[in-house]
Amino acid sequence: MSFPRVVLRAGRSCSAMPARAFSVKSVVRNAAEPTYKAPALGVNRTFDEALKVIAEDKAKRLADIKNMEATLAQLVKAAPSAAKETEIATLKEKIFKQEAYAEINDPEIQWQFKNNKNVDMSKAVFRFMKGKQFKRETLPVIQQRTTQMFVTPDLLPSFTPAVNVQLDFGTGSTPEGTKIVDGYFETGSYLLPGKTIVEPKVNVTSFHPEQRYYTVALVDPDMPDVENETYKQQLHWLIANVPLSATQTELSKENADVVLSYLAPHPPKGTKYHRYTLVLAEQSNGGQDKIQMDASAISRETTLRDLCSHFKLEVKGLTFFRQIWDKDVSRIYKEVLQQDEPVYGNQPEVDELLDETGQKKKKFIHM
Amino acid sequence: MSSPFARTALKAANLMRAGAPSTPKKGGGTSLNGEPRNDLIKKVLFDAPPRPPVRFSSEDMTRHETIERAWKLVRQQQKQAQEEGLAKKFEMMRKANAELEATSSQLFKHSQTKERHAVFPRQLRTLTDTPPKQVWNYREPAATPAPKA
Repeated sequence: MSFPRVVLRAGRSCSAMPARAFSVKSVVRNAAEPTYKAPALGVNRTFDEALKVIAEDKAKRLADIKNMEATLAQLVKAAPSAAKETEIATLKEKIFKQEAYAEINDPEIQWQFKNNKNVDMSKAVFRFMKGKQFKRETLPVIQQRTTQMFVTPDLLPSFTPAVNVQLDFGTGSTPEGTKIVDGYFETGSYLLPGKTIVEPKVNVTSFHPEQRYYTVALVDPDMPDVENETYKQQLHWLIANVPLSATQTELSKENADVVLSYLAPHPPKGTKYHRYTLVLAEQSNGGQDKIQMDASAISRETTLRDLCSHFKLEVKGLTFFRQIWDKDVSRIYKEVLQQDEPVYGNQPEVDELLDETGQKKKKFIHM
Repeated sequence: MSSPFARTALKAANLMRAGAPSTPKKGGGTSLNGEPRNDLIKKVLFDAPPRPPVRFSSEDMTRHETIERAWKLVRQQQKQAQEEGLAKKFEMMRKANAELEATSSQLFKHSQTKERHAVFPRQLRTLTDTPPKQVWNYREPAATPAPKA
């Protein structure tokens, strides 16, 4: 008896006050419906009016989109000028936003996005919502991990990722207790060397509807360089001309050119944790150019900065995981690399106060 | 009343009307000179049961969110209409000023500037609590005769 009254009061107080002054808790949390069930009409009059308002707004926006598309068509036909390209770009942005705002208030769209069902990335509204979610939830984590572990100054200049890259090495690739979001590990997580011998599935959420070509590279910047007393980079994987779009999210080797095949990560014993970084770089001309990478010019020692500057790549997405030596790494050296396993350690400590014979150094001399 | 605080206010009023003496004093010594006000306040705050949280089913939750979105849209549209109205008024004002500037530069300058040293009329009669002995001088004529149309 009091329940419908409460609902109606909630509606009225919404209209009276600008901010929510009461807590609303959803009772049914676990029951995930398989399909969207539209709320019944006639129960809450405010809801019925709300639907009318939303429908009117949608109609207005669709009409606006028609006008903008007409002006866009005219602009494209018009004579080329300096301001023309920017005008076209801004107009396309406006059209995209209007397409998104026209449908974002639809309760069915909201349900679909929340439950990740029938999320068609070819629709502007879902691209918009996913973009917002990425910026709000995933991007801060990536930025924080990359700056904290110095991936950006070491490998690349600092940038803002525009594309979401996620790796899947299969179950059990992370030690127990690692945070897993949406089935993928968080950027910067530790992975087990035994589980990264096989190449991962790369899932890319790019927010552009058109197809663009990307270059994918897996770099280890922490391989010790004993001669120069520093660290050197090692390219574990390099694939060029990967076609990706909002609807094409998986990396498939059939459509792309594998320049360097996948080499299992093998952090040697005695070194600190290695940051294996997967970088997604857009190729030149807005991702429309295809690259010819001849294997003679590229080696596993090529640095990422050199690669990007030579082929005019613009890094758009980044993710990385960490690994430290394990017994499985010895196995990898023996079976996969067929090399002797190096063991690194610190230089022996030299006591400044003792001479070569081990005696205390004399402070004074007999004159 | 549509305020969510209505229920608490009602309960508080009822408790205050019932009076303090029936329940034992809390923490003793809070009533000064026999005044039960602090006890009453404590009773209202802690004895009144808290309002239960509003629980919505998922269907009602969808309705609630849709209503919130639609209301936001309405306010957006109202604000947009207001801004457009203001913009139109500003544009008309700007055009009028431009026309005046083209017509007469002296009049335009006079319209755009304000008397910087303007002061209230010093001939004004001082305001008093009570009226003067002579409210109006009927013998002498008015200072400024009415202009002939």
